[in-house]
Amino acid sequence: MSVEALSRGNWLARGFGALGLGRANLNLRLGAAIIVGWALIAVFAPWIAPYDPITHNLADKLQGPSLLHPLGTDNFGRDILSRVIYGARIDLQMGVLGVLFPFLIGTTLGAIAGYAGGWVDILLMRILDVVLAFPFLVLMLAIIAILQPGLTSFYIALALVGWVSYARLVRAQVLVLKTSDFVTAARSLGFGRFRILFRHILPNCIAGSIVFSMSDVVLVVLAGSSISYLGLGVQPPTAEWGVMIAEGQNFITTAWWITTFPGLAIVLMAFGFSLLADGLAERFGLRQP
Amino acid sequence: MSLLIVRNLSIAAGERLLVEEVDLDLAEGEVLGLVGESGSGKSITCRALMRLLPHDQLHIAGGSVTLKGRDLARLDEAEMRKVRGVEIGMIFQNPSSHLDPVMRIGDQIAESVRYHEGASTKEARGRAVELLRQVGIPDPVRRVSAYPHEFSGGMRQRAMIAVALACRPKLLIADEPTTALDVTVQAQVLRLLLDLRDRLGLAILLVTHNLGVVAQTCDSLTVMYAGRIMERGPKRDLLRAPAHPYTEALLKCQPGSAKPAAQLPAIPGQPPLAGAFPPGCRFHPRCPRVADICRRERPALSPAQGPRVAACHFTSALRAAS
Repeated sequence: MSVEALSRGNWLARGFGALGLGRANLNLRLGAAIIVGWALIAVFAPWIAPYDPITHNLADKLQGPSLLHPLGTDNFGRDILSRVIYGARIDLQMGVLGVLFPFLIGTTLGAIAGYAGGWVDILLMRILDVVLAFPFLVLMLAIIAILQPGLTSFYIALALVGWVSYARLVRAQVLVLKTSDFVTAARSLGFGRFRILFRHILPNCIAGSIVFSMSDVVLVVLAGSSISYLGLGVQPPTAEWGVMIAEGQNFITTAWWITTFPGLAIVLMAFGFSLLADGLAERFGLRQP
Repeated sequence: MSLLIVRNLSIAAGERLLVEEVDLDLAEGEVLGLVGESGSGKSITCRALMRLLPHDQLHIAGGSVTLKGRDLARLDEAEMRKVRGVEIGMIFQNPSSHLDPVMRIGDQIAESVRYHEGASTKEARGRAVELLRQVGIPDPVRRVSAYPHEFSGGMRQRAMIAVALACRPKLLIADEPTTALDVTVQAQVLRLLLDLRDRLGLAILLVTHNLGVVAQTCDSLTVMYAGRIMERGPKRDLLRAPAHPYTEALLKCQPGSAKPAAQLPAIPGQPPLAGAFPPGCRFHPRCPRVADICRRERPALSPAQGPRVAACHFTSALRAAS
């Protein structure tokens, strides 16, 4: 083997080591496998899905699971399996983007509040209290209703409501770390406040937020499905698990498969992210295994 | 010509003075030991030189800190940032907690080179390797990309010295650099500091409560007690024939200075808390030679012998006794 190949192998091994997959715990492996599985399904949906998820085919409506339609068909004759596969695209995107924005906003604001202290801290924390005073879903619904139903409004509403958890989490950590020894050492090297905050304090308190974000994905996917179910999120005929459950509820006694399989899909994705959260917490040493 | 001249430095917490009238002189290539019990004000004096006092209430109440002709006490924060790390480096007692745990050692060294000198990533990395080699870390090319937890205690202290010296400061403030290390490693780190002093012409302000460390490294010595200087002079003179009863008591408390089987003597009583300093000489409640005058009048720092000064009413009596 050439030296180049050797060093490349080393680099690969290091990459896996950095990701924590070198000698990862079972939760982390299983969670990652489930999420990667869903991601692959989402990316390759057009090739995997046996039927078109949108086109009506009234001749085949309300068929139970069979070899032709493994998960049955709905009241418009659409294949449930295909719709669940396409739904993974929307729900995964919802989970990722719906957490990314609150994560970025909350982490930044929380870090600034904790580090600056004084009136900046007081102001941000009072805003946070106001947001927290409303029930999560009610506030989301109100914001979406004001904007206009749809996925974009859903993301905006989540960013406005969801940042508070991250802000509180990060602020508490920054308060502890800003008087820590290595921050004193960084100050003794003449670094400015922003460099110290974003290069030294934040990387040391981000682990908790990452773990929290994984369990937050579960909540966001459920919230997205609930809001779509209420008709304020993803609009029919788009295939989304929450929408599918809403559409199938009238037939629950006669055609149970329309609601059950999208429901199971939600559960399985949530399960994957929960395992990932647990595995990461163990990996980062935030929790004893 | 002195590199650092501190005159009349006082540090206060609110209205309360914690450190009063401290004078320090440090020439290039000189190692000055700052000695005293816990709570004598050594550490906050160091922090004050860097203008990095640990609480918002603590502030410099008076005096000047002149480095290369510039009074640091009068610089604004932005100018002060260009002094920290560039003209004064600082190392700390506990290397494990003073290194950023999630940053590679090499990046921590390179960071200040890039920040202060605008060096490229490659140059800064080269400097990091060079510095690690200078502080005696084996296999520096590989070790630059290690994290602090992969280093032993002694190596972490060496790495911290490398970080502090990254921008080639002329003055190194070492706040109890060996206290957290075991004895053999202590000796190695002290030797390294002296070696760096010789090679780089570094001036070192060494804060310690360990007179053994002082004996091995320092050129001159300043003894502090309860926020004031008690005695100051060349190390050899101070250790051989202390002019102040406090220095004498400290020396007697060193293991090895008493007979092997005898119980180690201790200074009776506790050092006073800030704000409850006794009137007159601050050491008088614990002093074996206390007299009436000590309770009433504070002794001034006065020449005791040669270049040495001491703050005691009975300096000459002490000298006569020894």
